[in-house]
Amino acid sequence: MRPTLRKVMVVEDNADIRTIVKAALEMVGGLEVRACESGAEALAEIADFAPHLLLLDVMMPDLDGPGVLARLRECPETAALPVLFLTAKAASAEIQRLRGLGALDVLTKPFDPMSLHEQVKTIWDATPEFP
Amino acid sequence: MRAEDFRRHLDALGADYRACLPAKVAAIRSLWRHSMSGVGAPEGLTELKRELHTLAGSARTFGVADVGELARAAESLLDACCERGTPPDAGSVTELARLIDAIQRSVAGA
Repeated sequence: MRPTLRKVMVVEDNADIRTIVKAALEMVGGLEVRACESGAEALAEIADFAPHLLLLDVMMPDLDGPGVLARLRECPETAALPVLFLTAKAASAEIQRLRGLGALDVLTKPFDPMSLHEQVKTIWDATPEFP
Repeated sequence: MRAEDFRRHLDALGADYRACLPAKVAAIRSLWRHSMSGVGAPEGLTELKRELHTLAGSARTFGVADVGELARAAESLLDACCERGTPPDAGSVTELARLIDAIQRSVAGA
């Protein structure tokens, strides 16, 4: 059964984008958000925060978004954690590739901060079920 | 929070962002000079590509679309060089220099 979306972890190395995503989801969406600046930070904090959803930037130094997703899938506690990718590369082949990795969906940059939470909630609500 | 309150917050974030743009562009120009001097290349080009990627993503989100598009074009040019595994050729160097100049002019007018 799908839980109510309340807690989102945002993983984004770009501080400007991180700030605006966090503000959009908290201030407009009313969500509880924890923002991380790297994949390693997210992996270290995920058990403590226990998010319902991860919003994950694709291109990050060291451990990129797909790398974080792969690490999550290796761990029983996070194997089924829903992930939305955030990418600046909007080519359909790239989006298909990212979906094929097991993400719920892919959001593209630039995004409209005013409607970001609606995009996220629409995808969440459209996902039929979670393990 | 009402939409207009968040819009005001966004406007404030955007103003802060635009105030920081000259420093971001100065950092990009410094990396470009560094890369072209041969010191630290190809690491310098990788770092330059990252900074351009960051600028491209954030500028368009903060409504500075022209800066974002120029940064995206420069990033794509460097991407192509990295995929080939070769340093930028003379034509690419000229185009990158033009794009970085254009970013600076655009930021100055923002």
